[in-house]
Amino acid sequence: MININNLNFGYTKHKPLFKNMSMRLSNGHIYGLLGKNGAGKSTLLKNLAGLVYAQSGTLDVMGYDPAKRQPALLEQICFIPEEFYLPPVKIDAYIKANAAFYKNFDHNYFTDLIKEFDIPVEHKLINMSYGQKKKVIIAFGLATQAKLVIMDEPTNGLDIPSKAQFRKIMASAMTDERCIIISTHQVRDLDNLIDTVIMLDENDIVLKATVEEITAKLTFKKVKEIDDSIFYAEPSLSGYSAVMPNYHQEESKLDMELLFNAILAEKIKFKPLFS
Amino acid sequence: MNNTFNINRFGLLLKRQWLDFGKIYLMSLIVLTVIVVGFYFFNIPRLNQSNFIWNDNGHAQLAFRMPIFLSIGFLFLTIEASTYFSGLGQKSKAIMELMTPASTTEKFFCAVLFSVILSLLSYLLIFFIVDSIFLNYINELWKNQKALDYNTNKLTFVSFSPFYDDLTSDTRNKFLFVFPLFFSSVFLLGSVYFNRFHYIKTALSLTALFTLVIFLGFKTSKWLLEGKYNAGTNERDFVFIILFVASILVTLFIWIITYVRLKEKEV
Repeated sequence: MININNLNFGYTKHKPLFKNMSMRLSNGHIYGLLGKNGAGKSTLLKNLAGLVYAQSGTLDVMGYDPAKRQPALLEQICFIPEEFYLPPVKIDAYIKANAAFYKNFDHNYFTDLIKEFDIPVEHKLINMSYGQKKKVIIAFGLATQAKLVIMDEPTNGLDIPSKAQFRKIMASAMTDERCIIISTHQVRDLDNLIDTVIMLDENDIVLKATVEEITAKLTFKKVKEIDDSIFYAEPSLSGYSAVMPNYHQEESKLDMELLFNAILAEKIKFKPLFS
Repeated sequence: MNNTFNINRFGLLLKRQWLDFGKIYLMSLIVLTVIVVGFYFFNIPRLNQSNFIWNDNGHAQLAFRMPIFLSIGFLFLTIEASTYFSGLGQKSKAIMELMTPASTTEKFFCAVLFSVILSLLSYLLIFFIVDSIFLNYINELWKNQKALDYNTNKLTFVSFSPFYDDLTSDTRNKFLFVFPLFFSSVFLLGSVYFNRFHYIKTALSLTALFTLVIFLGFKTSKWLLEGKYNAGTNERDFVFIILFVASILVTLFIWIITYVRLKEKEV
């Protein structure tokens, strides 16, 4: 679905954000995009959506060049930005004006999502809270039936029940034809949702692996003491939370926060496992 | 699917833009009407007034009308044009605009239609309606009153000229009709080009450019023609035609730049 080849991008010529980045993303997956502040998560998403232009390299999204902003591609992209604007109208007026651009827009599904998110439809969008607006825009985006769903910090501003609803809705929205990319700092919000982790650091992708692949190669567990076999450990209440090679095919649950910190701290140790 | 221009998609875009832009636009028309009415109201000729400008048709002219028409028209059209793409300067609005599944061509034509054509037509309509209403009222007020027509040196029944007569009294006025398009196009470009303070930045850039062009034009013509040539009426008309054609070409050129800027806009 997405092919990135030798992508070079930077907001200024002297400070590149991506250097010869290459990656392939397929449909039928929910990708979790992780990285430190300023690593380029939002910028990568913008490149995919055609909101910024690469300095060199090629980007292919469903056979289109996103930089051309062709309607045929735009109607297949649901982009939920971190900062968004909704006009001062009610939901039905917003739908009337925007839904027609998406020929597969599912009105019933949108109504169901709005009900599930408990959005007050009689209110104007401008008078809703940030979280409510975000839920409206997520519901709208999913109802477009777009094949590529790009979300930048989608759980920011959502309350605790809404985060659970979000996970449930995203899991049910996944189809074999869809590719969902979610960028977030709040990795716990995406627990059990994403199936592939992409991590950005130092102008490139430092990790791209499925959750199964990660848990097959690494094990995440609590230990009392640290030994040489441990790649990375963080103090916890009952000892240490540790990441280590999975030599004995043990089953463990991926701790994304721990993995994130581990890879940033011990890049060299992890590299041979996921190269 | 035609990715350059599709009439159905263009219609959808017009509808969508109207939803966002329409309410403010209608409010601006109300403000415009109030301003025009205000100017007319405070400039109604008093019954003891006698120093009128008379036109060739024997009508007295409302001297305040043309300056008001030009200055309010300039402000209205440039403000409307400067507002249209101003949202692209805000990240949140720009993302929603650029991600709307319509082509850059459709978005550009929509901008020209709203900010140039619709604004110009609605301005002319409002001005003519206000003018007609006031003209009827003033002519009724001055019914059977006489004043000295300085063209004929005769006491004449006062009847005020319709605005159309003022506009067509000088045949060269027709060349000025390109200026609304020119100024709208400049301020539309400013709304895409600048991220903040679109109006003031465009006005400053335009003033600087005009000053430079006038200065260079003046110096060049002085150097080329000083003491050698005196332009007659025909030559002056020719200069107006040149100015008219040049303004159209510059307007088209500015529209092309606006289109390219819109196409290359990044968030």
